[in-house]
Amino acid sequence: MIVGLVSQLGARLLASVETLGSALRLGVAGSLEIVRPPWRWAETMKQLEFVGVQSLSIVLITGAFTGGVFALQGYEGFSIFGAEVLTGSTVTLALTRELGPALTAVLVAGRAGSAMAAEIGTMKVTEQVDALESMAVDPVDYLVAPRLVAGTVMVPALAMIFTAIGIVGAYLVGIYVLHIPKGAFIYRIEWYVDPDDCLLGLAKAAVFGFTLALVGCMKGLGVAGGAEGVGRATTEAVVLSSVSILVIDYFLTWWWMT
Amino acid sequence: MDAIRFEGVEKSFGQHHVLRGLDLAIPRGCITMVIGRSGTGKSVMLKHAMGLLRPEKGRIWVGSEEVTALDKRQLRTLRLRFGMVFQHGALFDSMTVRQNVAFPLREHTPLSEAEVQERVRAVLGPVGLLFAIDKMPGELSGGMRKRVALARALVHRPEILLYDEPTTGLDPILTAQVDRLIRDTQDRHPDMTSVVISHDMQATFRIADHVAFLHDGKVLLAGPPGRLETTEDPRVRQFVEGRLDGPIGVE
Repeated sequence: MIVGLVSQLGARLLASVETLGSALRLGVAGSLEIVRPPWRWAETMKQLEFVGVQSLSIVLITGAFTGGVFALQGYEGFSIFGAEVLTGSTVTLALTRELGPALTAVLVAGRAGSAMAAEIGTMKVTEQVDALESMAVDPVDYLVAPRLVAGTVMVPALAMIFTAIGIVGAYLVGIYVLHIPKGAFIYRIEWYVDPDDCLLGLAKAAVFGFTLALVGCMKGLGVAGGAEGVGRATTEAVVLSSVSILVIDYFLTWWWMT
Repeated sequence: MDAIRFEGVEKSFGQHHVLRGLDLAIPRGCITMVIGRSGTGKSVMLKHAMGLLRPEKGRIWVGSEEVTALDKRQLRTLRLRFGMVFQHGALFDSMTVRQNVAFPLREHTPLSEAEVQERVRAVLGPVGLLFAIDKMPGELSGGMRKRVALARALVHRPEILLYDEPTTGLDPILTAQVDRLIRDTQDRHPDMTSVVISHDMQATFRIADHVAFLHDGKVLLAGPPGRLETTEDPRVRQFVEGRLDGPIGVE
């Protein structure tokens, strides 16, 4: 029984290491193909539009409400010791450093990362990926590289928008629902939030965007076994990229602070 | 010289030993049909010829070039000498028929836009699909998709055209139409070599110039189609006659 447990644990561990290994390999190969000609302008533009422009509405809605709810919660906490004036700066800091990048990335993972896995996976089971290879076109260059670019460029852009609209949401809730004076709400935001915080947020968002695109592509290319396989790959892509984003977030932040 | 030659090729996937010392020469300028039961390694064999898979043992030549000795970049160049028609067409479903057929040209030739369009029309004409040039693959029937796939495989004028079970899943009339198309295509390009993977005996007698019978990863018989009828090999006879009882077990 103990032997069975240990061997099961070992098998799990081996599988995880294998997944990490293939992710790293695909990440390196895909990054090389980004810089190596031929450059896939048309494909890249299509992916930028898909990952970025088409995610805009969910980012706007989620951002506004996240800022709003954070203002509500922050206000309640701070009012216990009469520090309501801190609500604005705290929300802004939290959005810039953490909530903007991480929540945007998780949203895009659910919307675009899953679609990448499903699309590439369907191409795999219908032999379209084989067809690319048979026509001497590298699937990593044609399919993976444009998606990596789109994730890395668009998630920071969306995170910026998320943060900005979140601050607006928090401001509206703060002023019109909680009746914090306008001056107090924006008091010292610029003193609390440094350009470094913005930079950290953007850098993290870029890493998250690369990660979610990489996981989506990897799961798509790894599909075996028809429609069921595509479904499984799509789910796995969302779960794995969301978890990876939050874990990477912790370590990046920890590394930045020490 | 043969178009493609396999010498003692072996390949396994995990525990599954698919090719077990495959020896086969595919002659130039005619249609070779490779027949055999499903799962005997016919598709795997084609993928080896294009260098999409590497054998564990044995050597493969395409013309005078040894595929098994080429590196990744040379393999890319080698693949341009092939055209491949996949079982279900494998058309890119995010592109129109026109974009699908133009794809190999845009990728690998410096042709101008006008020349590309001309070549696309020139291959879609003979398969009777000029009217569908701006349709998406999803709007086409199975038979039409296969004809587009054939046009796409032909557009860059390959030396060798490979068909992976081109008539599987088509009704008898469409099957006859695709068979005719394969024959016509070969007759229009006499320098080209066609390799057709199939388990359709009727088609074999109708269009093949040369046949190879694959069983358990080996070639049991190779020669003109008439050999299929005169052979004494009980395994080939069982397949040709489509009988349940015989040396080939049915699991």
